[in-house]
Amino acid sequence: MAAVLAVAAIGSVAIGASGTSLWHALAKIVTGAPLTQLERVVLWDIRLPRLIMGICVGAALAVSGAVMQGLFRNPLADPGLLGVSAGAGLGAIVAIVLGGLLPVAVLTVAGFWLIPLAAFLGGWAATLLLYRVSTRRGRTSVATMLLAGIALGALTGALGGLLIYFADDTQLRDLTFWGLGSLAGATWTKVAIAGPLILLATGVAMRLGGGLNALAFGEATAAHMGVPVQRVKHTAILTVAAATGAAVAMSGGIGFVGIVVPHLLRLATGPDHEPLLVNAALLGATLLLTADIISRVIIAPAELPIGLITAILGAPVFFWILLRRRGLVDL
Amino acid sequence: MLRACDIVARIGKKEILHGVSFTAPAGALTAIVGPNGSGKSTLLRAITAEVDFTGRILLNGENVADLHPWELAAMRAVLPQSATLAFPFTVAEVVRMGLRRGISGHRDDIPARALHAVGLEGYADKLYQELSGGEQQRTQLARVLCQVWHPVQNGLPRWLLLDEPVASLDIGHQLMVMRLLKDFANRGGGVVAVMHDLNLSAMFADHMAMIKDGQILKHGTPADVMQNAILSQAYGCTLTVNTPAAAGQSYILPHVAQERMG
Repeated sequence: MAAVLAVAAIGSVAIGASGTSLWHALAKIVTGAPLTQLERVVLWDIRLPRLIMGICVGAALAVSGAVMQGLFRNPLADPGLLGVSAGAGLGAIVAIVLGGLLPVAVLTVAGFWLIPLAAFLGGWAATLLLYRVSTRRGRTSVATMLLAGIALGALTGALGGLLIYFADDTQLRDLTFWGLGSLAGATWTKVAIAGPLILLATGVAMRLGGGLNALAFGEATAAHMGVPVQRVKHTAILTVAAATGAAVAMSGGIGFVGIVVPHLLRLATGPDHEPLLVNAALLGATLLLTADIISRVIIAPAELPIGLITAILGAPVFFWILLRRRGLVDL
Repeated sequence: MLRACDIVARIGKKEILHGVSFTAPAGALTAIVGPNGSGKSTLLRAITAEVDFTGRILLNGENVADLHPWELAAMRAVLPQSATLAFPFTVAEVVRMGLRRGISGHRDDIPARALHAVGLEGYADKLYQELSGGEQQRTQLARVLCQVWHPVQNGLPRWLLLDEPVASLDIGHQLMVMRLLKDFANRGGGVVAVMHDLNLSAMFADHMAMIKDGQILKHGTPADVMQNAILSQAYGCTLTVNTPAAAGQSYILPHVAQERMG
C-alpha cells in the first residue's frame, strides 16, 4: 500500500501541464545533476506543495470517513454528517459574497486567506453547535447529532442560497469553483498551516481503532469491554472536525473519498479498524493523487476541478455499494 | 462479593427499583428471577452502570463508580440480552475482542478454548451476522468468557454478569451454558444471571433473588424461593412446586388443568 502511494507521488510530481520533461528533472535529482530555473520553480513551488497537500487531504478525508463510519456504526456515514462540510460551505459563501464589504485594511491582510479561514471557522462552529445540541451531562448521542446535522444542513443550505441569490457573476463563479474542489491553490504557506493540523488530527484518530471495534457492539457493550466510550466519541468528533475542516478549507468540496476508500478496504481486508485506519490514510492519499493527476492531464493545459473527478468516479461506486448490500440500511 | 446497597433506579420518570439491596457471593451462581417488568434486568443494568441510579455497587469491596472502565473490565464481563454488530466481523474477531491487553494476559489459545467451551469450534471464520440467534448468543458468551477467562486473578474473584444467557437457546445448549456458568462459579468466580426459566434456575443456582415490583420479594437458596406462596404471589397465578423423590430436583407446574376443572 505504501509502495503504491510512492508510485502515485512520483507520478504526481512528474506529470502535469508545464510541458517541461519533469521525468528528466527527477532523473537529474537522482543523479545529482543541477536543475534549470524553470524545473526548480515547477518542482519546488508548484508540484511539491501540491503533492503534500494531496497526501494530507486524501488521508484526512479517508481516515475521517472510516472514523465516522465506526462512530455512527454505519458503513455509509461520512465526515459531512458532523456538519463540517455544511458549515465550511456556508463560511466560504459568506466570505466570497460579503468579503467585499470588509474594510480594505482587513482585506489586504487577510487576502486570499479569507475563504479558507471562513470555511474552517464555519466548519468548526457547525460541529461545536451540533456537539452541544447532542450532549447532555457528558454523554453525546450520535443519533441526535445525526438528526441535528440534517437540520443544520438544511438551514446552512438555505442561508447559502440566500447569499448566492444576492451574489454577482464573479462571486458565483468563485463559489462554483470552490464547491468543486481543487488542489491547484496549494502553496507552502497553506501546507505549513493545514499540514500539521491534519497530521496531528489523523494521527490521533488512527489510535481509535480498538475503541471503534468495540463500539460496533453498541456503546453499552463497548463500555463493558473496558473502552472509555465517551472519551473515544469526543476524540473521534474533534479529530474528524479538525482534519476535515482543514482539508475542506484548503481544497474545497472533495466528495466520496471518505466513503469509497474505507469501503474498498473493508472488502479487501475486513472490518477491523486497527489496520483499516492506517490503510485508509495510504489509500486515500493514493486515490486523491491519482484523481489529481487525471484532473491535470485530461484537458491539459487546463485543469478539471478534482472534486468533479472524485464525484464522477465515486458516485457509481457508492451506488454499487448500495446495490450489493442485501438489506436496506438501518441506522 | 458483589453488594448492591439501596439501589433506586429510574427509566425516564418512572422509578423501577425502590431501594433494592442485594448481595451475591463469589464461588456461587446467583439467579435474579421475577415476572416481566419486575425490574430484574434493570437491577443488572444498574450493577453494570447502564442506567442512572442512586445507591452504591461494591464489587470485591470497591465502589464501581470509582473504577476506570478498564479496571472494571478486568474484574467483570457483561453479557447483554442481545447484541447487534455493525460491521461484518468474523466469529474469531468477535471473540478475540474480549481478550483485551492486560486483562487475560493475551494468551492466544484462549479464544479457541472459549469457542470450544460454548460448542462453536469450527465457527471461527464464519461471519457473525450470518449466524442464528442462538449461535450469536453463544459467540457473545465466548467473547465474555475471554474477558475473564481465569475465574480468580490476583486472589480476587472475577465476575460474569449475564442478562438472560439462555433465552434463545435450545434445551441442550441451555444445559451446556448453565453447566459452563456453574463450573466458572465452582472454580471461584462469581456469576449473577437474570433468568426467565425458574426450573433451570432452581436446578443450577446456589442463590435466587425473586424480584417483584422493583423490590426483592425473597432472597435465599432455591429451596427458600421455590415455595408455592412466594411463586404464586410473584407471578399472580397459582403455581405448585413438585419434588419427586426419585429425582430430588424441584420443578414447578402451572395449575391450568386443575383451575379449569375446579
